[in-house]
Amino acid sequence: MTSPDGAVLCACIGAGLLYGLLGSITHLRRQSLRGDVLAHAAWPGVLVAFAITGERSPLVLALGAFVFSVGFGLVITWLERLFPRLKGDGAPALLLSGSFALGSVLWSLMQRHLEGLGQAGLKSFLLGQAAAVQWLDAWTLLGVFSAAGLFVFFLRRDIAGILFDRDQAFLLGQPVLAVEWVLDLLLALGVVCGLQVVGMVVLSALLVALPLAAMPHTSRFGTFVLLSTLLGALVGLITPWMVILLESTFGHPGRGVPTGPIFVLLATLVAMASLFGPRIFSGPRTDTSGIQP
Amino acid sequence: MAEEPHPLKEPAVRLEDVTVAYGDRPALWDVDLEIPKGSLTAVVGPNGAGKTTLMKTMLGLLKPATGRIEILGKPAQGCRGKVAFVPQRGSVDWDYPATVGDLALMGTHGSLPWWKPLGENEKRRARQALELVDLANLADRPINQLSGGQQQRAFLARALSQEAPLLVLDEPFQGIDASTERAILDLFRKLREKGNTLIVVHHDLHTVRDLFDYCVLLNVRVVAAGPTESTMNEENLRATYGPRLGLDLKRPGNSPLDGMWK
Amino acid sequence: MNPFSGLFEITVIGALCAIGCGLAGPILLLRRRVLLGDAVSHSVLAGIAIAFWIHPVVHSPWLRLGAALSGCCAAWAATRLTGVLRGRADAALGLVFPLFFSLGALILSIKASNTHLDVDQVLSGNLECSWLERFRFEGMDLGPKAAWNMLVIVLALLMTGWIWWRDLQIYLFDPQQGLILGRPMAFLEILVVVATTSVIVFSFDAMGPILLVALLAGPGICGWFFTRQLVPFLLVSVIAGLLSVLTGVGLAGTMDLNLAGSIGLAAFALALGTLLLAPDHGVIFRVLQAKRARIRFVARLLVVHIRQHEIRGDHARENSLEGLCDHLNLSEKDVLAGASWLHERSLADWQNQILASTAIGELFAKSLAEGQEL
Repeated sequence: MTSPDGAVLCACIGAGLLYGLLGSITHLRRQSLRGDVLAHAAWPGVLVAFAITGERSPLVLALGAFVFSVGFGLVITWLERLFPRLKGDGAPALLLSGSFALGSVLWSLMQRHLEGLGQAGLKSFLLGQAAAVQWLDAWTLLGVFSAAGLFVFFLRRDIAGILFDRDQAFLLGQPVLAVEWVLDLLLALGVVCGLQVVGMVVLSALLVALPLAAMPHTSRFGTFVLLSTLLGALVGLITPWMVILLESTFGHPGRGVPTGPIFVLLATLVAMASLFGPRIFSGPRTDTSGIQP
Repeated sequence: MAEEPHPLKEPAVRLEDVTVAYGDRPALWDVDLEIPKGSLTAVVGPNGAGKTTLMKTMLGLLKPATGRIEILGKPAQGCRGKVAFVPQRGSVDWDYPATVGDLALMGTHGSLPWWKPLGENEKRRARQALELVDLANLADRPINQLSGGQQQRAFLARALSQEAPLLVLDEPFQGIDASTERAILDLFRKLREKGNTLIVVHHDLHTVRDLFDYCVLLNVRVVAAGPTESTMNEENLRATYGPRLGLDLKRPGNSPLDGMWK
Repeated sequence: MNPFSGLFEITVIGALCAIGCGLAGPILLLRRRVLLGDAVSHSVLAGIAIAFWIHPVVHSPWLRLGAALSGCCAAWAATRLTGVLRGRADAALGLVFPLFFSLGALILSIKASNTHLDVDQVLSGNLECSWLERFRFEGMDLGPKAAWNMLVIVLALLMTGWIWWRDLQIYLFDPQQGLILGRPMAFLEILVVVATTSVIVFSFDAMGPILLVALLAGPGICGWFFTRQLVPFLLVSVIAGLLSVLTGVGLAGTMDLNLAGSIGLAAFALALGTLLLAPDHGVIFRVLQAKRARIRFVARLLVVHIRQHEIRGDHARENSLEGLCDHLNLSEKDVLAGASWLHERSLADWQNQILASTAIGELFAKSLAEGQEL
């Protein structure tokens, strides 16, 4: 069995690290669906960028995806603030389907002029394709992870306070709005960078699965974030090997196995093992009734 | 009982012509209020009277449509760190990964810039706060394993570690067992003796006279405010709660805490 | 339109889908389970993939069975996980449906790389070709199969809603109360899941998960913000759904666009329009109302305030523009706006740059001060 390509390995590890980190914070903010909206918003973003500039350089397309992700992120924040009855379910549902519909329409509009973004390109965008991953992706993922990691480390007290009790954070003089802004931007950035590796459709699942894998093992904020990040790296490490294993077993040269689904399956496996298996750091829970508060 | 606070001292809280509205509906209207320093003040009123709104406006969390607010002589926005707030227990998700000790330490976070790590001073304040509420032996307990009374005490510890001269509490005795209630009241008395001011949204009319020396009767507007003895009379109560009060305050021995203070 | 051209039949199928979703959408929105539709429709891919693995025929009924089973499994898994996660339904859904989808996508990429089951088609559905498969009975062509499927579903939805109408209303408003009253709330929950899954499974050929969610959420939002009772809510949702389909078909036909996307986009636009323009809750309404409300407050405060000073006798000093701005901590603009509100109602006037109350204004201030009218 051959080894995975260095770029793919590094990119997967980078994605795992990044989504473990961002996912733990997003989970504590109770915004698990936000990542999904941001990921889906990237599609029309990429198309609009291509339509406007005619360039298919990764930087331009990523910029388009980023702008749309941030834009849709703002829209979902406003919708939830202005229309409380749409909180949690209605607003994400509307924006998810809306952005995808927009993307579909743009895609069909541009079919005539499309030479670069063909069918294969679409598939790798939707589910992630190892063959399409390059060193640029790996470096950006690791770079964004480093930036996010430093931010979370240095402002860990403020972030912990803001996530636990927002009003109290205001009272204590913590920079609530600024921190929330940066976290939102980091999430959009992280989503855009990982699209090539994990794909749009299942990206948000990583943001959910990795913190869930860490959650049962600890009751401290710092350990939670760290564990989620490390588990992400672990899953990221295994994923390219799994891809190669499946490709060689089921033999489809040229029609590679998509990386996104594998990433998610592995991460979910770890999450299930954590949730329903033994607890390592915090000992058995005394209240495992699982009844809704 | 403690002596009445001196009327000429600068008030801890002063509100002038404050109106707070949610869209079309006024939550607080034309509020003029002075709460003396060093007092133990109760804020009472029916549901929807604006009690929590009043607390949040005092803390600077809500911006009034009109009027002025002064906390300890300065405008509300400039008082970060000088006021400690103990919100209702339900305002937070207790499934959050933190221990009781972490929660107590959170009160000290506001006093340090982000590049300074937490030092001995902060840890000492948190430790003392935990001892005051009798949770020192549970410092490593995750907060999702606490009972209601323990949660309330943990919130108190967070506020106490801030070492702020003004404490605002929103229904701290809601759903608490009797022994925890006694312990918290004891703590309030100690704090007041040290010169702190406490403002408490209280839900039980029967116990206001026994516990608080100053009270504010609120129903969107301030119906009456002043020393409890003179302010909690039938006329004011009727104006606050409406004609059908059905409450008998004249009978002694009404409160479970009778005899505790005297 | 020639009644036998594809376009007409596509429109009919789409309209029936819209009616089905227009009925199911409000229910899901009220119970905060719209994403259940998204989740279930993503997760049917696993069932389809497994069924295809076992029996590799593209249009077989086994696929539908696999889809239905898979959808139900996913719904059950999500509910159980929500319990384990202490009520975090967003996390449970966010985990379960991509999981099933991933499983399905993986199996398909390995086993079905040469067939028509392509991922992006799965996501968008294939409404354009949905009318091709016909329902034949004794040699007669009775129209597209998809239309008959959807008709059956719509009728089933209507009948179910009719039979359980009263319990449904309780379930939507306050299920806990329903439990106390002894009504079968758990059964209704299952009923809702089954109904949603059926709509999805039967329209899967035509609509992908995204279009489905668009037709569930979008028209549902239109209905929610324009009505105050359940029946009008359902009615407006159905109408909004039909509008979306007609607009979408029109757009796609004239501009040669992706059909599912056009319909989804139309639904999205209608929903956004509702959020902007709806009475009571819409953004524009609220902005206007906030302005009006503020002027009203300031005016009332002003009249009470100037009366107080008039009674005290220091009105010459306090009731000037600067005095009022200063004392009440208001801007000049606010005070002037409030004063003109009072002037329009003959409650106060500017006299020698002092705001003075009229006789009616005095009475008004008195009643306000006594708490009679806010």
